[in-house]
Amino acid sequence: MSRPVFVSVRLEMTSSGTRRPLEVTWEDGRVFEITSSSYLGRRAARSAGSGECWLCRIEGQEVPLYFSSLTGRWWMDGKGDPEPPPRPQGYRRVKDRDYKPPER
Amino acid sequence: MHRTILHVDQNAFYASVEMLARPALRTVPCAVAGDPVNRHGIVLAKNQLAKKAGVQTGEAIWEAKQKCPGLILVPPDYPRYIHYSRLARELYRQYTDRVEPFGIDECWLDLTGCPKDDGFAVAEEIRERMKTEFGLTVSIGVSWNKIYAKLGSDLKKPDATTLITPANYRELVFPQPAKSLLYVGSSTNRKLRRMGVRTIGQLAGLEPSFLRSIFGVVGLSLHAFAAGLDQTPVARYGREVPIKSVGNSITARHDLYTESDIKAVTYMLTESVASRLRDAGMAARTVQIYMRDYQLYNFERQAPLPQPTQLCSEIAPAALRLIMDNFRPGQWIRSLGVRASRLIPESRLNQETYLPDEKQREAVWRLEDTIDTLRSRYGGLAVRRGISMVDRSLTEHDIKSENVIHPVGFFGP
Repeated sequence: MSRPVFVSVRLEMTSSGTRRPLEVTWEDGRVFEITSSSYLGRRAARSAGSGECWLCRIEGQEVPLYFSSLTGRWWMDGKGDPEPPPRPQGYRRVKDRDYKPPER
Repeated sequence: MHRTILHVDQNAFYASVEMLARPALRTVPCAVAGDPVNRHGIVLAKNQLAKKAGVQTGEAIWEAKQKCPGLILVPPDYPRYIHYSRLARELYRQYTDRVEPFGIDECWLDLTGCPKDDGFAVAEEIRERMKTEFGLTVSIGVSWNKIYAKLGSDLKKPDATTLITPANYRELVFPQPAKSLLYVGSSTNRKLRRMGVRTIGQLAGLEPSFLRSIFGVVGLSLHAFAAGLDQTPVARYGREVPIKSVGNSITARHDLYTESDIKAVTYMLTESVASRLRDAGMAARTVQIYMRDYQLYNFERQAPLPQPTQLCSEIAPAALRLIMDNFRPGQWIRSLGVRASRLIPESRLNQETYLPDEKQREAVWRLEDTIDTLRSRYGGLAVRRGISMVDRSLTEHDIKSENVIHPVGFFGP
């Protein structure tokens, strides 16, 4: 299982209009340098969501880094379980007759 | 000429997008549903587990909860759905320039004359790419006309491709119930059943002139749809469709039964309608109202306006009069809609009115235009009418900016 880990990214915007991620800061504050990266286009993430994807080499391993233009956030696939599903809530039908209009 | 047409349908679109963002929802029955407090409490989409429990799209939350007590409800996140819908259309446009959306999650693609025109191969490629690039599944129908393509995408779900060719359509399409055909709704289906027509094959076997005698011009279309003779082209992407009417409607926070409540909501809706008319450069000659009471009985009425107009202060009183004429005391109105139709361009408006009160109309027009400007700068609730204050829970909606145009009809709007 994996869960999404939102990271902050130091990014180089090149004169040709491409983006190149240089380093990421993990949620616990550790900073990892990206030695090389290649742009893959859009990909569905293993953890959650989908976005533009860079395959980055970090400490000798190839790991994907994702960016969503909808939320503007960057994330990676982290180890661990995803957040548990919410619990079902009770639902009481509200009848119109119960409604009292406000005092005027 | 033989065409290659695809119909791509994103499976359980809202629910799929929610499950993509929160994968934990895949393990539980879940449904995207409107807000019950605002009385939009119906199931908009559900996942496979909820479907297995019998939850249906369109049913009220309490019904769904009875069938499936563990159902997880997720509020809809429209910006996210629109984002994914737009990305999907961009993907389709890599194959052809003729991409015609039908609602937020469906599209027709015409591959005729495109570099890649093998319908089945392209369908499989799109299906695969949707999975790897977006993490969403689609079902695709491939055929030589739009109607069969749409039918094909409904035959196998989810994540499947159905090919309907002149060689196999008799086996695939003809045994399907007539109801699964586009534009056969419940009342047409009822009429067809009375004639003993249950399947598409039986419908295709009838004489077009006989269908015409019963359904009018629509009968001819029905026959063409059923027999696979439909020639309707797939529109080019981004083609502007001429507007035929402008309308807004709302399900009120609570039932309306006093004149002041009805008046407040009518004015709120009409302000949006009039403002959108001015944006489109159109003037209306007819006003229509739509009412639905608490027993879900609904009806529409319409009346001509004394003169073509794009002013709220002229449309609203006419709409209100229509409502009050048709409103029986003791009736509780659940939803209300106002629509302006029989539109003419505003350039003709200026030629047609040589009326004595022209100066005053001009002043009202300037006033409403100024309010439009204020609202576009500071938000729809920046300037409000006094009557909207009678019950703020009813009228605190920014109708115009919340307005989303829903799929237009198959024959155009």
